[in-house]
Amino acid sequence: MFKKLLLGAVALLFITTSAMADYTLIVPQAPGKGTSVWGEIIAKNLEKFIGEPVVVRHIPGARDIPGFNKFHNDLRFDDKTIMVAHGGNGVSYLLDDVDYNYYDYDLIGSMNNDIVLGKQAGKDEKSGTWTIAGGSGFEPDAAAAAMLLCGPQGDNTVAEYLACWRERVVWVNGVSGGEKRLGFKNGEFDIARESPAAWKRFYTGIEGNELWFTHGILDLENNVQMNDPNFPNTQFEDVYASLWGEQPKGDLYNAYKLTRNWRDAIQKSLWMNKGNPNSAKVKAAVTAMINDPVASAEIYAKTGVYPWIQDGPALLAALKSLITEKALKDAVTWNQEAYGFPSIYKPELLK
Amino acid sequence: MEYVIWALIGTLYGMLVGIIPIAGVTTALITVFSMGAYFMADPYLGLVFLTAIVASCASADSYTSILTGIPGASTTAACVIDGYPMAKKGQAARAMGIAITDSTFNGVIFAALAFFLLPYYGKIIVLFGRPEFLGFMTMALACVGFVASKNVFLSICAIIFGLCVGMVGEDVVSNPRLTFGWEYLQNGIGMVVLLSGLFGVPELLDGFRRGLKSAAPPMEGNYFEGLKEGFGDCRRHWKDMVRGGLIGFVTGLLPGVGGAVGDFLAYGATKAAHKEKQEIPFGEGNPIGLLGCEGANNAQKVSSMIPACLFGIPAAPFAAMVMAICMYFGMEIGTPDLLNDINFTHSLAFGYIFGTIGVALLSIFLYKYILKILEVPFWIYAMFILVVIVWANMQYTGGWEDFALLAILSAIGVVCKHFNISRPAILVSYVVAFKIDEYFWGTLQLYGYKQWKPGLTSMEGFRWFDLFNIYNHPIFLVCILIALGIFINSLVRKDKGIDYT
Repeated sequence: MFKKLLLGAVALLFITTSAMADYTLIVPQAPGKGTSVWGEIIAKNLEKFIGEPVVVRHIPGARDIPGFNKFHNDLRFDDKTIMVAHGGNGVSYLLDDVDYNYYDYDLIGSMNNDIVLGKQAGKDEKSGTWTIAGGSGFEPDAAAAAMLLCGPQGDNTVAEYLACWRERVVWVNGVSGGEKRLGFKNGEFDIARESPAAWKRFYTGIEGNELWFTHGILDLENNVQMNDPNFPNTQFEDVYASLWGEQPKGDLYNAYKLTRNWRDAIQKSLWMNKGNPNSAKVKAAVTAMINDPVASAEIYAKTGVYPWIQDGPALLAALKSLITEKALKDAVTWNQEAYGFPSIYKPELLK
Repeated sequence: MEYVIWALIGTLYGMLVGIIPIAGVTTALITVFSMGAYFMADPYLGLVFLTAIVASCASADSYTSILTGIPGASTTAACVIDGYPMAKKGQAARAMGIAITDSTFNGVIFAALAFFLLPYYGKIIVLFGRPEFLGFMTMALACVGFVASKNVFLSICAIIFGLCVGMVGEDVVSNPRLTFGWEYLQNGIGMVVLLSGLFGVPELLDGFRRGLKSAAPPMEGNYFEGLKEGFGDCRRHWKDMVRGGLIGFVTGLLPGVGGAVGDFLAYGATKAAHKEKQEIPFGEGNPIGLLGCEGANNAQKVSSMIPACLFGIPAAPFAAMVMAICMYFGMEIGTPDLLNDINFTHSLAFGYIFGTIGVALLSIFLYKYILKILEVPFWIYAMFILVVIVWANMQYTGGWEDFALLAILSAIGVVCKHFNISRPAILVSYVVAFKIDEYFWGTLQLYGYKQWKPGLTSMEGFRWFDLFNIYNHPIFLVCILIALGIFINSLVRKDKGIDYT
């Protein structure tokens, strides 16, 4: 019996060690979730251009924070470790207690992405109660929805929007993506929220829903938000102006812009430790992968066709420009009061 | 062409694992879980591969039960009753003929019925809102806890334990819950490690403990003549064959009940339908007894996937594994969008039907090799499977925590097996735990419960009448009543019947 167990242990050791690869993509989610699937596709394609094996290691945890923290505190010092982060990590960087800090890393590549919001066809924004299914990562979407439903408010403070939110919105927490879709289709929820690829796949051409608004994408060169070329003339600001006759403004709008850009401009991104000797090589491999028609087609099938950003310092500077004490505090208040999320104010982000 | 190649690989692999005593479909799927990344670019290819494994393993499980008297899996345990005595009498070829015909017939017919109609079943889900799902999950718990298992106390323990395991991770606003300060648990306990611990490892250890010797008894007469005789038995008694498949199909639909129940019910129904004096009594190698229950297993495998696809509730452990792999592929099980995806349903149907027919043909011509595989000592393939299970689980994070959790859950699985605590009940409770939490709070919020933040809540204006109104929510109310009925029946019923746990 002992010999048999020993044989098994040796076999196990052999199998596990032989599976060790050169490059590791750290994904802060369990297998099967959106960014995990994206990470698997990137790993598979990237190894062709790096010329070495790339494996995915999942380190999941609450709000996808522990995996990124582990990268920051430990794994980033390995020269062949790449972090895969998503937009939710960007929002958590602003509003949650996290260890990681984007300014300590080199950006390898980031997909400048968008989110699509739909509503029940014909439902009037200016009246009635709206049922919204929430979840983490939904923060900027629901804030934009609140502004569209409530319109201009006295001084446009967060407190005024909160009062309107409690009056007009039934907020149902913790609903997964597929169930949001089902709830929207059977009329239980009034708002749908999807990635661009999912919107095209599940809603286009189906009666009963209409595209409400998108967030647009970041024009990094001019540091402004521009129309999403995949969904022209649907940007939130334009929809708001057309509905209420003026541009959105005020505290909630500033908080919205902050969380929106920290989520969408780095919605799917790759990072390595600052000064990592392999950063340039991996970055070049990512550039080659983006330019390869087969690889990019596989990636865009998952995300929709969106531009990549590889200029890390410019991107982080643009995002930094949105961080003000007032916007941060308002985003925290909105998250706590409207959604019940345990967000915290972090003054160190102002430094 | 690639689809055919992977379907063939799946068929061969499923057949191999199915032949191994004790190891069944769940084990086969656990061992291929880590291959998921390969199929990421074309998940449908992966789907074909895994359904071919399910189909071929389901059939091959029966062959082991018949030839060795050791169930290939619990779902084929009833086949041992008449199948093994037939093999001992030298009629192994005839029994194999019955098994091959019955499995193929019921597998193909019910796969076509289930998978090609899946998009139509999908229309049912659109009728389900938060209250309906809450009612259905409650009914699923009642089914798995109090239908398949007869010990109410142990069932309640299993359900509570499963719910606790399922609640580990985050609450609906992403706060850590029941993690005991272990950061690794913040994303919850994965389905693969739970299945490995509860089912995979304990069964293998049990095989070690029992020192399985699985060589088949010698066969008499011409093999092909025997097979032909078996085919003829099925033709003559086709009604028993269809009845068995139908019973297996219906029991497989019940959330959490799919398992040994269908097989034994089909066997019981066959006996009841043949009350006349038999030339060979039931239990002593009666071919009718074998063909009455053999196909139930295959039909049940098909229908067990329906509640998984429709509602995200696995009817059997292997269906939980199918769900886990689909989720790994990024497919959202339990949503109408997936059911309306024609590639999804066609992949399921193609893989399953290919696997069913493929394993039948292979079994006819590779019979000699099946006997050879059965002569291999149990410890060799058990050790191999154990190593692959451990390795598959370590692909999650690659850290020591993966191994530690597998060890803990394996210990729990061994204890549950020893004390007959329903492991399917734990599994289903685990799967529905988070959903019940979500649907419960979602239902409350939809009907007027207000929670502005922790500690600041109000039930003022809650619309009780709207929620408990038969016109608004008939499905919700019927499910709750059925769940209550099942529970009360389990308390008052004196004849406890068979415990299938």
